[in-house]
Amino acid sequence: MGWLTKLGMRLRALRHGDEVHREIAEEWQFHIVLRTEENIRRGMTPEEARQSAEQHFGNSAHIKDVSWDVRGGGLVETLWQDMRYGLRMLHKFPGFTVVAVLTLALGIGANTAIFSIVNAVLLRPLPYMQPNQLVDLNLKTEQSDQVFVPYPTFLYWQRETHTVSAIGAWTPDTFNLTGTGMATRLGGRRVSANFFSLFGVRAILGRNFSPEDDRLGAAAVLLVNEGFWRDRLGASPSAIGKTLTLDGGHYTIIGVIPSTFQFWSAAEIYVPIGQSENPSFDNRGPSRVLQIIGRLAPGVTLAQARAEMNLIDRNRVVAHPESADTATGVTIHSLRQDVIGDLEPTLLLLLGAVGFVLLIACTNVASLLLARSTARTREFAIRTALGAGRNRVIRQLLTESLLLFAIGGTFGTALAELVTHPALTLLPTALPQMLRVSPDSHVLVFAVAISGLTGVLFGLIPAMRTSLPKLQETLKKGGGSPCDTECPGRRGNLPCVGASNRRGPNDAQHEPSVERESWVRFAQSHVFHSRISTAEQT
Amino acid sequence: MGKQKPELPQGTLDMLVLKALSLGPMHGYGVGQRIGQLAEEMLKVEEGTLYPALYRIEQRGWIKSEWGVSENKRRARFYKLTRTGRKQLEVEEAKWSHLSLAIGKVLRTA
Repeated sequence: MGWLTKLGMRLRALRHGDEVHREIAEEWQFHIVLRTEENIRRGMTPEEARQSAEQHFGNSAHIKDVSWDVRGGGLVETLWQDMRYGLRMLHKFPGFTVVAVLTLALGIGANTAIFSIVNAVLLRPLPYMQPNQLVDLNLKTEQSDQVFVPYPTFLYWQRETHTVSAIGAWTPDTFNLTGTGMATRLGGRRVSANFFSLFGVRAILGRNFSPEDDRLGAAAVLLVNEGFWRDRLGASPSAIGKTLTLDGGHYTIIGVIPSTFQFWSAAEIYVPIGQSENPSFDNRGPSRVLQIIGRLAPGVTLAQARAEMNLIDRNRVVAHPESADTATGVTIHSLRQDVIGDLEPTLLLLLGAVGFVLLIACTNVASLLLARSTARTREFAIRTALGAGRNRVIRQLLTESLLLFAIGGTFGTALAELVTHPALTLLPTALPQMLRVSPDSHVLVFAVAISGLTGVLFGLIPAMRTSLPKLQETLKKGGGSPCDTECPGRRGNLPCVGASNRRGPNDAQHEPSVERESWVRFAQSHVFHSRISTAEQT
Repeated sequence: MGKQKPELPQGTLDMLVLKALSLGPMHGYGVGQRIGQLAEEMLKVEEGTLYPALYRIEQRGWIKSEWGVSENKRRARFYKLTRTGRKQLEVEEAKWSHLSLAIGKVLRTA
């Protein structure tokens, strides 16, 4: 019931704010009238009775604020009011605004830029089907943990393993394309037949390699990348079945691989590795040329696969003594670890560094805010005197600083968009191309979160300090007291707004209240202005 | 201003409002009057602060309000204790008497 009632009230206040205000006013009016009547019965004059009734009611402006808050309308309405006021203040002090916004834009921008790299590298999963199952396999020797694998060893592994459900091989190669005008050098790959299915990639046109394509003497076929198909083959469906001349051999195009698939560097064409007449494949010799990728069978851990692969590799040497080499075992890593490698500490270091930049930026802006709000102490003293509660003042200051941080954050995010790609060159190694650094919802949430969090944190400190002014002292300081002598009609904590008129016989034209009004910045309805004549003084 | 009347400790106003309304539905002014009478004018309650308290208590569902006609034929907003409000009053009364008993014991020692 509780929250439902609350929601109902809030909605009602939002849609029929005037009505709620009228209800409150009517209820209070009733109260004052009854109290006045009571006072008259007790023998006061009507004038006294009314005054006494109002006095007993208390600080009605403050009570009205609190009531309006409770009745549900306050939040949205005052937020809107504070935002408009905040924008006016930012407009009024352009120097402050520009410096603060630029500082914040730099701090937030640097963080968002680095975060979008961190997001692409560390947070986003690799862009493949079930990437956690993908592993990278290598041979181990006494010199190195990551040695490429000879073709026969790959075939043996493929036959024997159970823990790795699919195991594929690839090696980069270049091809000379002739017969289509100028001869061109193409970057390509030789891959095992299961290479694409291992990643969960399908040809967008034509078909993928089959095991029949992947052996010596099979018909020469190739797959092309979507980019090559668009640029060189006119994105024509009839490209399938056409022949390309590569290194003097004639290859038939059988399919197109989507360009969303990227693995390490770019490749324009793919050729089945088993067809290769390259001596290192040909004689099935021990040349270590292949990079091996595998997909763990469901439920198999890395440790289980590692144990099995090492066992298989020891059996290989027994079964095929001719394939014995200096390898001492098999290493197996998750593909993710292989791709990210040393980037993680570097990126975290960078993130830490820009974190400090943001901290410095925020501290600077906070001290600017503090300096400015010190200059505005009088304004807040007057607000407090007119009935604004401390929380209300804090909320207004907080809205102003959040506004500032929001503007800074917006510029910062735009800035991040510009500097992210140049920032990539700061990394010690080029980022593998499959890690596409692009802003996504994570980056956006991050930017909003750091702007909001720092805004609240660094806006709150100056706000807390400013909202505790010593009322009397502050009002007396600077520009003379608005109320040098005790004003007779004064009630509660309400000072005289304006000034006492110390008009002497010789400066009859002096009008102090005019210049004072320049610091009175609040809604001017319901504010009274009084002047006390002290003309009898000599 | 003569003898100083103590101000209400934080949070006790709600309880007094509930108590006043347990005697029957009443408008805001009447609630203030009732509290004054029940306390034999020994407490100082700024009358205006009754209203935010009434609105807050209403939000919690302990009282309900509706417009009606007052004894002197004026339109007034009447507040009425709900069933949960009555329970809440019992809880608060028990808590308060426990607390005042404990504080009394402490003050009487030594």
